[in-house]
Amino acid sequence: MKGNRTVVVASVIVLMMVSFFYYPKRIDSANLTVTKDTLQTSRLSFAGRVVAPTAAGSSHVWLNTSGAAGFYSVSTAGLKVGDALTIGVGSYTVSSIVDADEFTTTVVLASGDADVADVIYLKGKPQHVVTFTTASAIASGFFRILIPAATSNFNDAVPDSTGFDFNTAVDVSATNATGYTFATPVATVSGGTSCPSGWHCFEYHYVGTGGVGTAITLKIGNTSGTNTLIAPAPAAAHTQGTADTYTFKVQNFVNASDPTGTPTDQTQGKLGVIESVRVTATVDPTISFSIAGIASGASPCGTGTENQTDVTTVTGTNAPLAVPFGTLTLNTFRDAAHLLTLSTNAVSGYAVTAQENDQLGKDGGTTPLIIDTAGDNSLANETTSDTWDVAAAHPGFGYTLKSVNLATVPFTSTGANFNVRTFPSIADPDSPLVQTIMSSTGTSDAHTANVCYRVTVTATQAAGDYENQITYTATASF
Amino acid sequence: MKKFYLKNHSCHSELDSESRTPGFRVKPGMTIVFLIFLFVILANAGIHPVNAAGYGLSLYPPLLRVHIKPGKTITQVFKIDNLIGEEKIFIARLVPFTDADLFGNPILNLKSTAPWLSYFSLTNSSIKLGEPFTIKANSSEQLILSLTVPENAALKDLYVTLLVSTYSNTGVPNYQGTQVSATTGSNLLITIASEAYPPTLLRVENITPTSGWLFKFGSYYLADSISPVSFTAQVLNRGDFAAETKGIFKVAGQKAEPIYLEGVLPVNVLAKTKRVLQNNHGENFVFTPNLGHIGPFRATISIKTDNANAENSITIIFLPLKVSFGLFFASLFLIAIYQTTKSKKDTLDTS
Repeated sequence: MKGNRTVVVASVIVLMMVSFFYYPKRIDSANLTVTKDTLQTSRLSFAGRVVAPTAAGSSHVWLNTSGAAGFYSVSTAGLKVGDALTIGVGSYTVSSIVDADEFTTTVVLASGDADVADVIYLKGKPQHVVTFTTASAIASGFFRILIPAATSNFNDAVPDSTGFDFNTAVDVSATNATGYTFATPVATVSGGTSCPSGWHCFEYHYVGTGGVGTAITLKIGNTSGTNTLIAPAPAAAHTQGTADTYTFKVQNFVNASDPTGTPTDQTQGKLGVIESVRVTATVDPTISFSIAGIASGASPCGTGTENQTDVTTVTGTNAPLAVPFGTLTLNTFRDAAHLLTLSTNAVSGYAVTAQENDQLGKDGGTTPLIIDTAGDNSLANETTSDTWDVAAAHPGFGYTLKSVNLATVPFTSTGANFNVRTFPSIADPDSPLVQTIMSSTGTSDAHTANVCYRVTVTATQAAGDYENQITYTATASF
Repeated sequence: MKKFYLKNHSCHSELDSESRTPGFRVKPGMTIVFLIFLFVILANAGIHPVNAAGYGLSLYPPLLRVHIKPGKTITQVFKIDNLIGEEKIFIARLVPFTDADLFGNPILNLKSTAPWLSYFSLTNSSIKLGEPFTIKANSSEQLILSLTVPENAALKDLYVTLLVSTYSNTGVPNYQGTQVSATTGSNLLITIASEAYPPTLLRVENITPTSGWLFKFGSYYLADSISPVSFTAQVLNRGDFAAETKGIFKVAGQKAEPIYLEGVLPVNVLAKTKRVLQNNHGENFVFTPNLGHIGPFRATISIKTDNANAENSITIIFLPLKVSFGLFFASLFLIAIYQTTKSKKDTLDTS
């Protein structure tokens, strides 16, 4: 008997559970899931006011650090160089941020744009991309998005401190999905037909069967900022660095229903707007100079076998700070080269100069000398180039240059022609002190140039070891 | 490259013959690994490096501008980085200079000296001016430069470059060739004055349009109104102290309202020297007019220093020269066509 009672109770419980699931309670409205409003940029607009001593004819702007209704941008923290601003009624571009309440513009302020309390607006116009997943299969219905608007002046094309400004006209678009083929969406300003005050409304009507769990993407505005809502400026209680948050709604209505009524499905989300982060860093000025050797067999300054390097400056004693010509063959050129590299962030650029202590002297002495060459036509000197392609009867030592990357060099060789100059000599009172061989008038990142050396002697040259010293000096321009 | 491929082929043949020898069997996988290994070795051996880093030095700061009163001392740290993976010996020295080229590069005479060099000293314990010191591979060293100006020092500018050079005292027997010394310098522009902003005397000179459709009539320039015009200019410092060029280049119309503004690159002009003025990009000033810019315009460069202003300008008359020439030649062409057509018609009518 007791066993029968237990069976009856268990059966009743099972029946109750089955009936609960078999006849689930009808739910009138469901949440659209995974709802997001992704802003192209979450940057706040800027609404500030001019204060003295800002003056027409000057590009220096002082920002009022006291807030007033609608104007709560009281710090330049929301600005950055290059921002397009409206000051007064004129259009300006931020040139530099001076400090927390001062900035400069690229052009001077016009008369009428520099008066106390003249407005300073930066109009942020981010595109909204609203995405969500449908909860019900509503055939040929429509979606509606509600974006918060200010209660007044919500369509005057300037930033508001309590919501998005309609900015006169807004483009809206939608991406078709399975079961959802969209017609041209409609944007309605706050308080317009079937649009409640305090919200801008965007309706996306579609045809199709709809679907459950379908991912939908709806857009408001354009990435170019044309016909796009204006993002809010800082709210009255805005804390710098903390986002002002706004609530938006996404609704799904059945076909031909009144959008002011209750939607079948809806959900709401939050979006936040915050000042852009201005990243600043201090870069120390510096100048870097390096010399690297160049191997034999290379053609660093000209074409043809005659211009190929005969000796390496990569290896050997004191390499690469040596040009070991070695044993010279009479009436035959011997070539070598170095690669100079310079980087500086000095704004005025740099110059690399060269000079020699003397001509190549026997055993480092002052006589006899392998003279500085005069070139093929006896024209070459420290400041004038001459071709030097014939070794016989044209002995001497000289150099040519080639800019490898961005460096300005005073002369170069041409094809197979070796255009030569001589290094200024400290020992020669008639010689210029130094000669600039590489320069730039602006900041320079890894400017490079090849210096190519050439020497040849005739039979009249006294036997011995000849040597001199060349000094390259790199300095930043002041 | 050709030689390399021949070597590779030869090695491959030898391996094949050995792999067939009884008792010395090489698995195919091992052969491939060995061949790849050999390939890498030979490929690297075949490459001739074009260049290799041998000297690299970085110096901070590259420029030091100092205003100092007599009787005062300042100290500046210069940081030197040895950029290469090799220990190097350097030597630091101060070289005075008095002149510079138009682009702000000092004309250095390495042998020059001046009595006021005694105002400078290094306060490092182990590094002295004119004496070699070592910086380890990829390491840095600091030079602590102290400037003490005596009470009775002359009120004037001192220009000096701190040079850090490579140093070698190892002789190479039977050496034939050139030894290269690499030097990196930092320029020090020092003004000794009893006031914070000593008087400056700058004069803007030689504002000259250099490119574009230009014709000069007396002191006026005629320029085409749709062609960019490039301007060069110089500034002369007639004062006894270096001055910085902060200012603007502007082009203004008949109502003196600027229609074009460009910043002047702030640079230092040594006392009694000239300097080229350039825009913020280190280039000549360029104004691009449009068809609406017709008539006389003033191109002005204004320099402001802490206690003086300098300004100069030229007048350029913009005219639609290219358009006028185009219309003129088009008219000539049309007239020629008309005359030719008319002449043929007359001939036909006559015949």
